[in-house]
Amino acid sequence: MDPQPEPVSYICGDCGMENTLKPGDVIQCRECGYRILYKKRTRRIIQYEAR
Amino acid sequence: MEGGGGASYQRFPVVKVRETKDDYLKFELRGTDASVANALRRVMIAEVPTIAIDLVEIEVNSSVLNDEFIAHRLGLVPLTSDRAMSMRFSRDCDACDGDGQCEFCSVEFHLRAKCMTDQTLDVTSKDLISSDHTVVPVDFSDALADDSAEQKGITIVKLRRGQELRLRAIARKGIGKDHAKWSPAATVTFMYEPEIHINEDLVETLSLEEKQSWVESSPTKVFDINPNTEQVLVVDPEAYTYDEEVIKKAEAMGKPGLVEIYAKEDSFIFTVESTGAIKASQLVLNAIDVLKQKLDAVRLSEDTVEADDQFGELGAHMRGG
Amino acid sequence: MEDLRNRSHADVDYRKLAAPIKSAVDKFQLVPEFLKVRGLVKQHLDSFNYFANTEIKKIVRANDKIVSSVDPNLYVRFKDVRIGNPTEALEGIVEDLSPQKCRLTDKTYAAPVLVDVEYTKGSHGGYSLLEKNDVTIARMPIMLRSCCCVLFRKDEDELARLGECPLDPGGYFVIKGTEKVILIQEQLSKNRIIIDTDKKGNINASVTSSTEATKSKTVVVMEKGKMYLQLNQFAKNIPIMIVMKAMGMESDQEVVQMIGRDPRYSALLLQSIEECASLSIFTQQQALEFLEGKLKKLPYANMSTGKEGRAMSILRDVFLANVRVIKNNFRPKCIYVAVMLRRMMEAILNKDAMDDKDYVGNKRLELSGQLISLLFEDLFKTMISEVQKQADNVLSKRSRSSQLDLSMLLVKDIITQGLERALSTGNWDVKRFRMHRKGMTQVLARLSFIGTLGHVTRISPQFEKSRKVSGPRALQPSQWGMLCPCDTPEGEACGLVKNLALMTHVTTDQEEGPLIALCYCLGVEDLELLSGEELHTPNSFLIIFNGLILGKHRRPQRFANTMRKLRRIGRIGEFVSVFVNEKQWCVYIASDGGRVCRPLVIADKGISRIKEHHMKGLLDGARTFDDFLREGLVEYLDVNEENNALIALYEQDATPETTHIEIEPFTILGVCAGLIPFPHHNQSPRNTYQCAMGKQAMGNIAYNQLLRMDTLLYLLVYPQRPLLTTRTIELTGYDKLGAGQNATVAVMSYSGYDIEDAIVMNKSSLDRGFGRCIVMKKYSAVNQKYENGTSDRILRPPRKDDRNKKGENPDWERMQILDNDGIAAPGEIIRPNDVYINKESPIITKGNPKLGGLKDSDYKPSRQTFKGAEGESCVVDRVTLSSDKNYNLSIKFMIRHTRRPEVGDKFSSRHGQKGVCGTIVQQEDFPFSERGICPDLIMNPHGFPSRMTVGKMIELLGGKAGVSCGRFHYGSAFGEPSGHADRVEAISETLVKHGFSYNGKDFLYSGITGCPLQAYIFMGPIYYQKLKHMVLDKMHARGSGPRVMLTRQPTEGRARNGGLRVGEMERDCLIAYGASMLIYERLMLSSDPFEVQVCRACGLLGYYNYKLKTGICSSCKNGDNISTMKLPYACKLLIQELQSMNIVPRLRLADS
Repeated sequence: MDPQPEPVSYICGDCGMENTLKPGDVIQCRECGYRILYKKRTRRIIQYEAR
Repeated sequence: MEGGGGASYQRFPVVKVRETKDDYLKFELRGTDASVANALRRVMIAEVPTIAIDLVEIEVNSSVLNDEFIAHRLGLVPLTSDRAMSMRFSRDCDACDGDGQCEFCSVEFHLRAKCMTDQTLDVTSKDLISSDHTVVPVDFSDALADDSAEQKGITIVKLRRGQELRLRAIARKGIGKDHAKWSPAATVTFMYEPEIHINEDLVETLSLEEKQSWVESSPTKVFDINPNTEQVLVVDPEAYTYDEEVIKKAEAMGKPGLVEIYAKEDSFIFTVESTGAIKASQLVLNAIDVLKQKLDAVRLSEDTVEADDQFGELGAHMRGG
Repeated sequence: MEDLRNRSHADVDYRKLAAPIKSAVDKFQLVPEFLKVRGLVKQHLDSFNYFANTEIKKIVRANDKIVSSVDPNLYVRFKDVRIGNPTEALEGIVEDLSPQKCRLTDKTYAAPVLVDVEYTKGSHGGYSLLEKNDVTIARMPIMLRSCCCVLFRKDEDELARLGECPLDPGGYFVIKGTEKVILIQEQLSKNRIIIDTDKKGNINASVTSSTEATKSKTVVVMEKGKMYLQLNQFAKNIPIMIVMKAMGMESDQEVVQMIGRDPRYSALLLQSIEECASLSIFTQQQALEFLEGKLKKLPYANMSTGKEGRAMSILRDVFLANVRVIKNNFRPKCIYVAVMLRRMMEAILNKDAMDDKDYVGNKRLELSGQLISLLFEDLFKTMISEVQKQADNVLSKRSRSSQLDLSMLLVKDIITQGLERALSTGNWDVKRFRMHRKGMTQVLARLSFIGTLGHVTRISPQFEKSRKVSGPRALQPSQWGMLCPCDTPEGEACGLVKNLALMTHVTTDQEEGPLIALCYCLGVEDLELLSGEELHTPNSFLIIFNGLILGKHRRPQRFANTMRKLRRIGRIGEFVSVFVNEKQWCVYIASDGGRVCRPLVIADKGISRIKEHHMKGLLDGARTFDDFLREGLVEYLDVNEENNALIALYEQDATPETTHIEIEPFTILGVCAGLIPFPHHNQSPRNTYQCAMGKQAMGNIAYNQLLRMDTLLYLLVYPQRPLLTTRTIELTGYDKLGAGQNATVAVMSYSGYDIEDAIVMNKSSLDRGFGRCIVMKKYSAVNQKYENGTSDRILRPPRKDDRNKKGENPDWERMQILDNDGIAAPGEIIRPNDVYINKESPIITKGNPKLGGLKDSDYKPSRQTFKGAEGESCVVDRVTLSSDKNYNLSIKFMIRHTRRPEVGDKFSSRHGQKGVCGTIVQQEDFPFSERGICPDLIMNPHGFPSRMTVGKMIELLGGKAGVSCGRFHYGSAFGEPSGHADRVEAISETLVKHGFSYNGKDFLYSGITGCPLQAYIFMGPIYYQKLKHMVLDKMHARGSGPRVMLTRQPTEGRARNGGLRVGEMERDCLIAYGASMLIYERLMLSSDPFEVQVCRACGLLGYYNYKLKTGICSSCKNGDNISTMKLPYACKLLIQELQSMNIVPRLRLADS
């Protein structure tokens, strides 16, 4: 198992820019300094019933 | 009343079409019982098959509506379902390997929309791209109406700059009983045709104002007064909504029995409005076909016990004699 | 014709003929203008603004110097104080805070309190005076939308940029990420004389005095014909005459004269005088000595302060603390006591003269600003004493290297922590007033928008749900216009918890000095100059200002009118109230804070002062509500002053004696009751039920609801605004958010599944999205950092093809929704027992930090899994990463579930008609009309006769008419005369015009048979709300399951998979049936059966030895007399607990 995760990118709450973070980084947007980051949507395709 | 004796209870219903448009049909059904008319109505709502989106696979959705919300809305988009009667149900299809997505039992749709401008992008049913050109979202615009205003289609979601929606949808055959999205009927209703008899002698005893006030007491315009002869005529008997206002007003004026209104028990006026998935006239025909199929399933089933002594002629009739 | 000529001229009222034609001016526009300035939430904002701007300065000014006791030349003096902008200091960088940021990162929305200080530095050698500006002494939590808040006076776009909803009312705090609201506290008014009966039936007069220095309660009670004084400082009751003598009134004649010469009063006083004489107390000195003897012994021996003795100081400062004694002049206090006695005696002679404790005019409402100022003052004083102590500590040490800089000591956390703790726990501990109140703050209800508004306008009671007293719970007539009559919860707190009406305003304190001076200018004769005799002459009235007697006035009506005139032109504050009380011969002037008042239109002899051009100016925007106040068209009346006014409801009802006219009658209701259409046609308890249910309805919370991370969030998928609105709905913004849907309802009996208020629903409507809701729940995880430097870590999840060192691959199935960083990705469907964060914690968390880093084996997995019901498939909605206070990584998940209405979900209309979905029927089975309309909902008509909610029927008519003609209809309370509610006749006409029947009944055909139904059915649109009680959250079953460790009985509660209790009352029912075996089964076999070995000889419990296969008694030490029996484990536990207390419970057995 690879203990080092690939860098995952997160979206800033304010400006919407993508930031890649490694574990142990301070949570802050690189562009605007906003301290809340959101995860991006999953890349898998999700199936729903249209009911 | 004993059965037998040669008298047949079979009735011969008559259909007369009054008005027909693409999605609207008004016709009269005479000479049959209320149960038959109701059965026709129920089949039209619940058992005529249509094609509608049943499975949605969302790749990207950054809009304000969440995934199942959009899936629900896509399911309700009406698709032109002329193919539906001849298509197979997904669950019955043997061609596909069980996931119900082969070309015989399903139709595939794609939708890709991304808003690039500062203006709000309206993702409508027109953006759904079908794999089969006979099954497409219904187009509601009139050919003659003003161009860009009316031809937008059904709004699914609105996107802001940077928001994107990408999905793949599978449409399958189904009936309204399963889910209302497969119901091809917008409204199907019938009314009993009224029979109105005006007692002319009593009407003679009324003055013109009294006649006018009596005519106006009906909320819908059923009667009118001929300006020359000052006679009360029945102008539109079908506008009568079976509220008994005119009867109450006649009694209030002291002239009970001025008019007698009955509902004919075997004469129905149907109004069928379809969602556009099937033409209204086709809807009625399909309904009759489905009703016939259901009856055939009972009649031709091996489990049907023939009790000739009980049913006699009816049994023979059912077997096709 | 004869009659007219014969009638004499005196019968015709010429005045009416000549009066100008009264045309009703539509004053409705005043209500939204008023709401822009005051009302609804603005009480909290005004109170907090008053605190932040004025009171905090007063507090600091009163305690502005810290002097070191070691070296008196070293001091710190506070020059100015102000509250800055909400900011946060992180690692030295100062960042602006917005409320939304605080909510998402669990921080407190606070701003620094900045002071300018002046201090000395130095030692005996020399002192230098230094100044420092902008020192932060505390971080004060800021109320949202107050004057210090970032959101103050921002428009919609700017609010949107800050992530805040423009419709959000504000008025609450954000403490550690949760929204807390300080409820309005209701109390009896202070500093007033209240005549009441105590528990023994004796009449007493009490004054609760509250000044800046002390709080005390003084009671004068009459027992057995003699008057006594009760005060906390005195051990027993003191005869009142002795107190009067101690205060300087040595002759009895003076006392009698002060009370009044009426022989009845002196007769009542006789016994008290006799008693005083019998104790042979005749001079002031003797009285004071007597009092000294009667003092309560204090636990710590405190030396008496000087010559006076404690009695004197108590009489001066504690007894009737609100009457100030200047230079030992006790005369005002004596007169005060005399007035109290006089009142009491009047009450004894005439029972009607007693005060009603439940009268709204005798109540004061304490708002957040006042409460925070109490807290702040206490904490400030604590901080000052701390600084002083610390400074003294440092200074007293001989060896000091550097000179002490006092200003450095000021930066402390005392005030910040204290404020935060009080606001988050709700416990207010103020040492000065010995106040320890609990439950002052609550988490703001975010179930629905109206729930939030209702919570902010709630008044919390003074009585703690006292059981039997029905007085406080009843509806008071004095509540008219001030408190909502229908909005009160059912059950325990009924009538105690109240809500404000729409146009109520709660006053804040105003300056007393100028008013007192004004009163003297207007002819009030000062108390000092009067004798006792002159005080009580028949036509002179006492003037009482905020509970303080100023003097008397010979022409009270004129005085009152002049004061009112001055108020109307703006010379004195608009909230000052002047009230002439004829019965008590007093004029009360009130300018204190906490009174409820409301605006009314002034009428001169019945003619309203507001004319068309005024309203036109208001509509055009040229005038505001404050202009109306300043021009003397509108004024604020509080409850007491309303007694002096004759208020007409509508302009046409005004007579020449009318003094005021109501602005709009629907404003007597509050925000929650304002949702109800036509409430004046409903039975009143139904309106009360709706007020409770409207707060539970699902709908939109705010515009920023999708950005908020609340623990539980209920949203409606397709919300609509009601077809039949009221003016209140438009004023509060409910129509922009909406909490229900307009359903086409047919009122008929159908299918038999609609008994007892159940509702039959249309399956096709549910397929098309009716009643669908979204439930969002929050889950959170924190990457903890431990003391020894280790912290949790989040790992990449194992995938299907991965194998670990041993070649196994456990758990990959449960971690499919995790992203590469070990955290669940939004958009994935999460099932029960799925892992949503793959966290590992270190095994060793304490001790010394390990060098060289940690290996994999030092971690144990601490994954968090999703716990949901089987079959519930939820979706991960949003995942937020942020850092909290201690710089730990905090991850929050929002998981949403879209639910479709099913059998068991609760729905209600807006008239208290709640019901559960009974069954779901196909559309083709539903009855249909000729136009093809098929109802969404079928309601049982049995719900109408006993409930009498005629408003619902009119709502159906109005909705049907609205749908046909395209216009929203209105149903405001009492709105028919003024056009704010549509009349039934007009609605019926509209219906007839569009071809429906005037009574809303339609001709329907049965969907099952096709034959027409035999009656006309009442069908039309009604606004239905979906309530948050859904069967999926409540359904619970248990066969056998977990048990409580202590008693080995089944656990309690759905969350712990608990069982249902057969309680004491159920046991009584089973006893009544004689079903003993059933009781045995329920209470023992299904609960906690336990086999014990009992020794027949000693009666104690033994144990079973498995090797010997016998039971052995522990005390007899042999197994000869052992019998086995079955006991409930709880019983065995009881036996052992008694044994531990040295009680011997012996079991005596007999053959069964």
